[in-house]
Parts: sequence; structure tokens; C-alpha cells
Amino acid sequence: MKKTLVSFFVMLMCAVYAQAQYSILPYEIKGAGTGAQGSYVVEVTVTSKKSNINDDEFVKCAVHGVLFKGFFNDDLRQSQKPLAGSAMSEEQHADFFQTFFVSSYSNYGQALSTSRRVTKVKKEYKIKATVTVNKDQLRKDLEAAGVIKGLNSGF
Amino acid sequence: MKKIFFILTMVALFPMAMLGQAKKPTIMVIPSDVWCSENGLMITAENLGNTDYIPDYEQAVLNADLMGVITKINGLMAERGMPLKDMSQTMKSIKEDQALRDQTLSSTSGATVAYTTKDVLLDRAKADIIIEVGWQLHKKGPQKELTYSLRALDAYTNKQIAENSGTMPPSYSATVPVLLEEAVLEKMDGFVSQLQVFFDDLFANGREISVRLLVFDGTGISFEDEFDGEELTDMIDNWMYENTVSHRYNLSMATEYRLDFEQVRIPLYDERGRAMDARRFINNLRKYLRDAPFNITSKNTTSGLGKAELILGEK
Repeated sequence: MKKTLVSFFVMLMCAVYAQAQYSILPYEIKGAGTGAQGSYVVEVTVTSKKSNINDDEFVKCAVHGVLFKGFFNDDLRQSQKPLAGSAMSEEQHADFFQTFFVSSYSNYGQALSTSRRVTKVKKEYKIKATVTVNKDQLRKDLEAAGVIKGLNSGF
Repeated sequence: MKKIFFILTMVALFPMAMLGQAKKPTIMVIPSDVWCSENGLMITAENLGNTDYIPDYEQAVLNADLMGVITKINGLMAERGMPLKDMSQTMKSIKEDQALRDQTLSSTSGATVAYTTKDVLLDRAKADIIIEVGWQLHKKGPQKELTYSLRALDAYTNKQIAENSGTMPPSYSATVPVLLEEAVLEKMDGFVSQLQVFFDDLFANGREISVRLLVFDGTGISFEDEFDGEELTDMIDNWMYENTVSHRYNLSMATEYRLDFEQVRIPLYDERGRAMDARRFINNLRKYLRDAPFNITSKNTTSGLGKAELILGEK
């Protein structure tokens, strides 16, 4: 009985820990112009209670947005679909993304620190930054991991 | 025990490896007719009193902007594991082949290489999927604005399978090649994702082809001939029903001497695990008609992956 309880407790803690390790701040994403070949340039607006957000948080939001939301910008006549197909893909490959969004994501983007702008709205801060996402490498690595299909899969 | 397990694993994996390779369609980028027309690259040809306008691809490949765009698209597609047929190289190769064929003589009799009129007609730049690219440059005062269009057509079903077009943001200073490069980079991902949907459908529902059956003149065969109390048209229709994926096909035209089937979904592999194409599919029908009760000889004149043609009556 004791063993069963201990096992149950360990499993519960694992589940809680797994949920806890993958969190993303509320954000909005939009296109910020055509990037160099193989990359997207996006503008990420993060909502936070703190005004000093780490660059990595912007990269995480940008990579997440490129993968599952896609982005557009009416002024720049820019529109891109989500790289992973849709938000459903995040659930389908939950195990992969739990690990991916802990550290791997940082290899696929870079925030331009000079682009940062902070606005205070009531008790929260809206912080904007421009991020370059290396979408070609991101796509290739996700294809290799079997998360998304390549154009030549099956041929 | 270990050995048995290994053998069982290999037996299980072998068909998977066999089924992993469907025939890759050939893809080629060409300039759109509209682009050729606007750049004065159309040839006029008189045809039965009518004037036909045909794109002059030989001249088009000398346009630096066009070749820049085609090269960029080819590069981006190659990165996705889908290298494309290059239009300018294909055209050079056709010319060289024609010249070589005309000069090749037998060492004993001096005979030239035999080829039919159809061989000559088929000697043109062709691919299973054609990507048409075009653009227009508009000037708004000092600003330049580029409208870019990219669309993919299934060369055999004539269906548009992917498209991404639009007007890029205006620019004061960018040169035309820079505007074009931006447009290609901006539009490519959306275009490729539509192409992916087409390939996904291909794997899920089979390859879509069209089938045309004809009769050689003077052979006395007609699709209204009866065998075992049923017309030949109906017997062929039944064969189609049995041999298409989920019985999906459409008999769009049936006359005494011609049957046209459209939206025919054929399996990607035959019963031996080999990649199936229109030629192999229609060859099975040829064998079916060769046997009793039909005993009809026919000629498979299929060329390419997706358009099957069988002419009944002779070889």
C-alpha cells in the first residue's frame, strides 16, 4: 500500500513538473519585413509584470509563434502560415515540445536588443522586440525529428 | 530464438522499405504566358486561318531577371529535397539530342536513327508539375511596386495545385532584382505548404491521372461492341471500378470510338510493390483486353506519369 502511494505521488510530481517546465508568456507576433534567405524577421510583443525580460523569452515566443500561430503584417503585405501546420501539432507532439521549449528553441532565434521598447499599461508592461528566427534550420530539424513532414517525404 | 526474431523483423521491415519510394514527379519552372506576352516574347503561328500565340522560351531564358528568379526558386526547392528540372538546360539538351540524332549513322548500312513524328512532338520541355512564374512592375511616382505570381499546375490533369501571389510593399530605392528576390523569399513558404497538401492527398488517395482510350481507324472495333451480353464500354467501366483507389474515377466522355476517364485515382504501388504510374496502370488494362473474351490487341501510347492513352486494334 505504501509502495503504491509512493509510486502515485512520484507520478503526480512528474506530471506537475512536466507541465511546469514549459511555459510561455502571453505574446503577440507580427511580421517585421523580409529576412535574409532562410530566416523570418518578426516583432514580438510580450505582456509581463516585470519590465526586464530576458532575450531568451522573446526568442521562445517568436519560435512558438512561427511554429504554431503564423504571422502577418498588413502594412508590409506579409503573411506566413504556421511552420508546424497548426496549433494542433503542439498537442500531437507534446512530448517533443516539452523538451524543445526548455532549451533547444534558443538555437533558432536571436533577439535584437536595440529594438526593445517598453510601454506600461496599468499594472503590466508590454515589451516589444524584433527577433530573427532561423526558420530553415528549424524546419529541417523538426523534419529530422519526425515532427513535421518534408516536401519529399514518401518519394 | 534471436535468429527467428531477427528474420521476423526483416520480413516485417522489407515491404515498408519497398513501399517507401513513390515516383517523384518532375517539376520545372517556366515563365507565365502573361509575362512572356508583356515582355514581347510570343511567337505567332498561323493555324488553319487562326493566329496562335506561343511563348518563346528560347528567348525568355536570355532574360537576366527571369533567370535570377528561376535560379532562386530552383535553389529553394532543392533545399526542400525537391530538385527541379532546369528549363534552360532542358532546352539545350533537346537541341543537342536533335542535332546528334540527325548526325548518327549506322556504320554498316549508313541508316539514320528511326523516330516517329510523335517522338519529335514529345521532344519539348516538359515536366509533371509546371510552376509558372510572372511579375509586373508598377510605378507610383518615385515608388516601385512589384506584383508577383507563382502557381503550380499538374501538367496532366491541368489542375492548379498551388498558388501564392500578391503585391509587395512599395519601395523608393530597391532595384528590380532585389524586389524580385524579396518576393520569391516571401512567397515561397506559403506556396510550398500548398504543394505539400497536394502531395499529402497523393499519398492518401492515390495519384490522379486521366485516361483516354481510342481505336485505330479501319480495325472494325467499336466501344459499342458486345461481349458476353455487355458493351465494351461497360466492361472497361467495370475494370476501372475494380482497379481504382476507392473506386474513384469519372467517365467524362463515351462515344463509339473514344472513352475519356478523368479524376482516375490509381494506387501508388502495384501488387509487387513497384511504383505505379499511368503507363503501368493502363498496361494492366491492355493485358485485360488482350485476353478472352475480348482478344483485342492495343497500343500503349502513354508518355509521362499522369496521362494514360491506349489505342485499340493494332500495335
